Amino acid sequence: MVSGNVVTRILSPIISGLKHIFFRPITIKYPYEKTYNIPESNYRFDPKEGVAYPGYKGRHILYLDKCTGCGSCDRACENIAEAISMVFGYDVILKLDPSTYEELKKGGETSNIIELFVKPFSGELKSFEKSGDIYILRMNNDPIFNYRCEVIYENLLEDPLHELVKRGWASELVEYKPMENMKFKICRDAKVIELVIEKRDFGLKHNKRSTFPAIDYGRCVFCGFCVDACPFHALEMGPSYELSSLEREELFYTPLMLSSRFFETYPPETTWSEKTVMLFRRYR
Amino acid sequence: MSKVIEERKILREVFTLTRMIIFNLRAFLDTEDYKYFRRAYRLVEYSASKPRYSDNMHGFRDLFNNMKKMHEMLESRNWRLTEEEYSKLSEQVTYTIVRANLIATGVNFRLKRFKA
Repeated sequence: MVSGNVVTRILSPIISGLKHIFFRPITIKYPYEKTYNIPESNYRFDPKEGVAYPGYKGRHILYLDKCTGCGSCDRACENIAEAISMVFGYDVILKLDPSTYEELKKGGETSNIIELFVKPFSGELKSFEKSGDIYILRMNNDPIFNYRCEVIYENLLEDPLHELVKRGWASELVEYKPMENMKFKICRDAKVIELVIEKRDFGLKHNKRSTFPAIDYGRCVFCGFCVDACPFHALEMGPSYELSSLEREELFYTPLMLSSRFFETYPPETTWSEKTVMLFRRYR
Repeated sequence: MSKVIEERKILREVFTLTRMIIFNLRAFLDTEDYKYFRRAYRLVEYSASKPRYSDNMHGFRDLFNNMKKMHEMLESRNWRLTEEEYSKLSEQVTYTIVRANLIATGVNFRLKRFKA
C-alpha cells in the first residue's frame, strides 16, 4: 500500500506536467508577447451618434487628413491635464548674400559661424539652394513643431546668437510677428547673414491655419476626453502603452509622431531561437 | 528686442530659479545635508530681493515665509535638531516643495499660454 502511494505521488505531477506540454500556455512572456483587453480596437468616439466605442486607452493616433485644427481637444484638456497644445510647423532658414557665400566656400570664420547654427539641428552642413541672388540653407527637413516661434528661438538659436555677439558680430531683430515669424539680421563689416524662423503653410484645405495638436505624455492622464471632444473623428487612442523615456522632452509627441502607426516588433535583444519559439506559441 | 521676448526671458529665469529651489529642497530631504537647505534659502532670498522675479511668482510670499520660519528655527537651534524637530522640519519642507512646484507649474503654463 505504502509503495503504491509513493508511486502515485511521484507519477501524478509528472503526468500533469506532461499534459500541459500540449496545452496552449495561459501566461504570456512580456515583453516578447503582449496582451490587450480588447484586441485590434482603438478607443474612439462617434460625435454624430454620441457613442464611444470601447478600446484600449493608450497612445493617441492623429489622422492628419481629418484634423481641422479647431482646438477642441486642447480646450477639453485645458482644465484636466494641460497635456495638449495646438502647435504650428516652423522652418528655420539661413540666408546668405553672394559675398558671404564666397567667404563661406573659402572656409575660415564664416563656416565656423554656420556650423554654430547647424549644430542644434541635424549637425550636418547641407547644401545651399540658390534663390535669385540669395543663398538659402534650410536647417530642418521635417517642420519643427511648437506652439510659438519664440520657443524655437529660445531653445535652439539664442545660444548661437549670444556666441556671435561675443565674437564681435551685431545681431538685430528686424522683423517679428508674435507666433508667426522672426527675422534676425547678423552682420559684421560687409558680411550679412539673415536668420529666419517662419511658420510653414501645409496648404491643406481642411486645415487652413496649419495647426495640429501635440501631446505631452509627461502630463497626459489618458482620460480620453480629447477623443470625445473631437468633432471630426481625427483622434483615437490605440493599444500602445510603452511610452516611458529617460528624457522628459522625448515625451512631447509632435503631430507627425502621433500620426505614425504602431509597430509591434520584438525587442532588439531577442535571439532568433526565442523569435521562433514565440512564433510557435502565437500560431499554435 | 521685443517686449514679448523680454518678458518671456524673465519668466524663463523665474522658472529655472523655482526649479533650482525645488531641486535643492528635494536634495535636502534625500541627503539630510543642510548645505542644500542653505542653498535653497539663499535662492529664495535672492528672488525676494529682485522684484522682477518675486512679482512673477504667484504664491511667493507663502514660500518665502515658510523658508524664513524654517531658517530662523534652525538658526535658533544652532542647526542641531532633535528627532521630533527634524520630523516636523521635513514635513514643512515637503509642503514648501509642493508650494514651489505650484509656482513652477503656474509659470510654465504662463509661458505656454503667453499671448502677445
